[in-house]
Amino acid sequence: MKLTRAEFMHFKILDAVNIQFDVAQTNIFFVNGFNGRGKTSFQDALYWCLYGRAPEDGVANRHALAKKTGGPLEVSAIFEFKLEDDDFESVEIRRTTEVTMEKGFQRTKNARLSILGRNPGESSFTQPVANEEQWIHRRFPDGLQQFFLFDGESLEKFFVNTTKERIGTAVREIAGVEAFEGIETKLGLVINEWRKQLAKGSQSGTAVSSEVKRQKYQRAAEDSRASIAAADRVIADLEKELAEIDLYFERFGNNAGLLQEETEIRRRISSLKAEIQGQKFEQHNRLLSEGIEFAVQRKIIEDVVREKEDAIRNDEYPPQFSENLMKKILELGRCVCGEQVPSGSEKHRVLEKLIHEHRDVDAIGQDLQKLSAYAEYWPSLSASTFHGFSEQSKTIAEKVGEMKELEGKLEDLQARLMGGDREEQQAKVERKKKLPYEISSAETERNKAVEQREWALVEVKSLEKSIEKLTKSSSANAKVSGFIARAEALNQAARLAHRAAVDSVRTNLEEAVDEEFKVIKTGAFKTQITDDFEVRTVASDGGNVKLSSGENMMKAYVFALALRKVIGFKFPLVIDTPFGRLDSENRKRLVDMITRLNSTKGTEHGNQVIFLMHDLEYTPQIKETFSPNKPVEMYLAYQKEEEVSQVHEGIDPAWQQADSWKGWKGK
Amino acid sequence: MIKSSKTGLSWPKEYRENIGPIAQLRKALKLGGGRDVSNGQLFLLATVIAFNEGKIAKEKSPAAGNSVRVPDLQDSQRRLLEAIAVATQQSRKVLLTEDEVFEIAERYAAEGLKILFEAKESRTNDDFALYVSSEVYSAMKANQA
Repeated sequence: MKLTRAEFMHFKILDAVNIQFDVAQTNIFFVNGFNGRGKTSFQDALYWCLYGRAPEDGVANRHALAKKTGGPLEVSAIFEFKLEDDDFESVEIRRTTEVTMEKGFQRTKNARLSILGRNPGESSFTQPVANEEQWIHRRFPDGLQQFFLFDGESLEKFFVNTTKERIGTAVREIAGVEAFEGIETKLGLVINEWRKQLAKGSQSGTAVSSEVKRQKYQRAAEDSRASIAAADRVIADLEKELAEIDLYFERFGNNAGLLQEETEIRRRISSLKAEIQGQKFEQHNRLLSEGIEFAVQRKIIEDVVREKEDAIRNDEYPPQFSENLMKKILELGRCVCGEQVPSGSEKHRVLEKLIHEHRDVDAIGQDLQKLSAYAEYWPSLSASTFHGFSEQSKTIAEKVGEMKELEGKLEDLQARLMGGDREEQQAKVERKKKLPYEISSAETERNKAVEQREWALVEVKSLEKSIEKLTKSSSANAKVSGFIARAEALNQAARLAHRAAVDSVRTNLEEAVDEEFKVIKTGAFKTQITDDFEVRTVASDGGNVKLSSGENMMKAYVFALALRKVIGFKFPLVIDTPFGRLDSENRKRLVDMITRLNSTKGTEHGNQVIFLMHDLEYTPQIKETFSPNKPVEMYLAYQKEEEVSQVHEGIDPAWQQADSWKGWKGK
Repeated sequence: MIKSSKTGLSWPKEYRENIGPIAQLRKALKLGGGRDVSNGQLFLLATVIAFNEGKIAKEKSPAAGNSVRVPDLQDSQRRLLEAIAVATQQSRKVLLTEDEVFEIAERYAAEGLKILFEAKESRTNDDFALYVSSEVYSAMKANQA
């Protein structure tokens, strides 16, 4: 299978782009470009077209979407493949959708997938493929995509991300395990029928009932086996889901922490708001009941003090004159000093006049005395009352400050969370929390089923022995027993063949990895794929060989290519940043490996390789190494005004300004 | 001091028959749950605000009181009104008749009400209440300098 054409309309940075891959000329294609020119968009388009998985930042070209008025923007990606030994000579896979901008996010609707086929002699794609999703799944298995569509940067984590379960599934599919399992089931039914006949033939009621029981336990054992298999599938699915969530977070960033933080900040802000409001209300009410007295200008106190001082200067303060006392003296006719003041006397008249004159001064003095006491006390009371309010205001200000800081943080967090589908992320965070419990629960169910199966099998064996004792020896019985023995032998053989098929695929895979990896790494080691499909590199003593980071990346390449070889998988190898973090030596090895992959077979049958590289990867030296394969070089050139990239053949002229290409004389 | 014969202090004439707007003002000054601000609190508040702004009504208030009951005035509140009267008249002689002290307070309160109604016009109840208490707080703070 070869990719012969890729066409994009308004897809991210690739707008009105048509790339032709001339597979008659070569199997090696390079789509080069500086960062941000659309290399990853090419892979994103392939993901989207085949699996409907849209990139996180949306499918539409931003510039085209911004300019679009009066309806949604239609986005499409088309990939044309030349097929081998298939229903058609070529197919055109087309995915389209309508995009609108809503609240800063791209919203898609009316997504459609269509696959049209073309036969030899036909000029256009006219024959629709039924059940498109299934057609794609058969030819581009979702579970195997990481063996043909990946990013070289992520190779270091290949054996971490690539779950053993996926390798296991691939191996079991290749080995055709389902066919062997079908044989076992059918033979089991026949054996049971014969056993029933045998028990009836024994003429013993006990033998018949024991056979009924035996079959019941055998069914229980089979049911338990089915339960174990079902539990295994559930566990595998849950683990796959967990791995996909991890992969999702690895690709788009794990926002679980941020979302949790956002919730906590919101909760704290809400609690602070309530606290601040409560304290403000309380302070307000106290200010109106206790504060007004001290809100009046201090000048009034100064005026009272001034009046008091003036009264002192005028001998009016403190009040020494009492009108009532003076009147009593006059009534008694005798002064406190002992002198007689008889009524009608001159002294009596003088005193009477004085009393009238000073009466008001005395009254004022008495009130002034009370007022002065108040004025004296007012400053300290005012200070202590204000202190109380001031402390409360500080507490409120601190809380307001904390709230503002949190609001700033919240804004930052929200900015960091923008661009992602928050609901989707939140759902994944929640799902990730629940999955370990679901896995543990499924494992408990599996263990229960294992126990039940073991118990049922013990019962089956024991009943078989007792039936054997009860069965009379006769020629008819001997015949049936012979059938049973042969059928069981066949069943055992099917099981062994099933095991052998898996082992054979595993061995082929081990050998294919070993063969290629030995070219890369010298030393006494071999590749081992364990029963649970872990890919190990082991020394002669069985211990793990420690691999460098570069060797691990190369092993991942080797494994991906070996699996393709064993499966006979022909999808082009599309790799973004293929050299990833490989050093120059390993880069050379990778080039050799790719070259071998294509040089051993003619162009028509070789593996198609599409590398998406930047200027520091595809250097003049790498170009030179690849030259015997006559690769087709293309580059993505950016048009700033339109925010799109166009594809041209050759090397980007702008690369000659880059350090890695300075001095390159070619064109 | 010659005691006043008044049983209560008065709001301005315009509120002699209809004290609805004043009741609304008392309600507006309340924050959170609880009772409305009392007549006494509002009277003192209005008096102090107008005194601080140097605004005093020319007209006398009606003789019959419909604001604060005189017997309900606390000693500290009486002293506050006396001090305001002394500061206004720049003379202790005002202390001779309680009626004069009360009359001065009533004339300030009348102007204070106007200031409060004006402030209320452009604000919601809560904003108005918080505005008033922040003004009271600022005035207290200014006295601490």
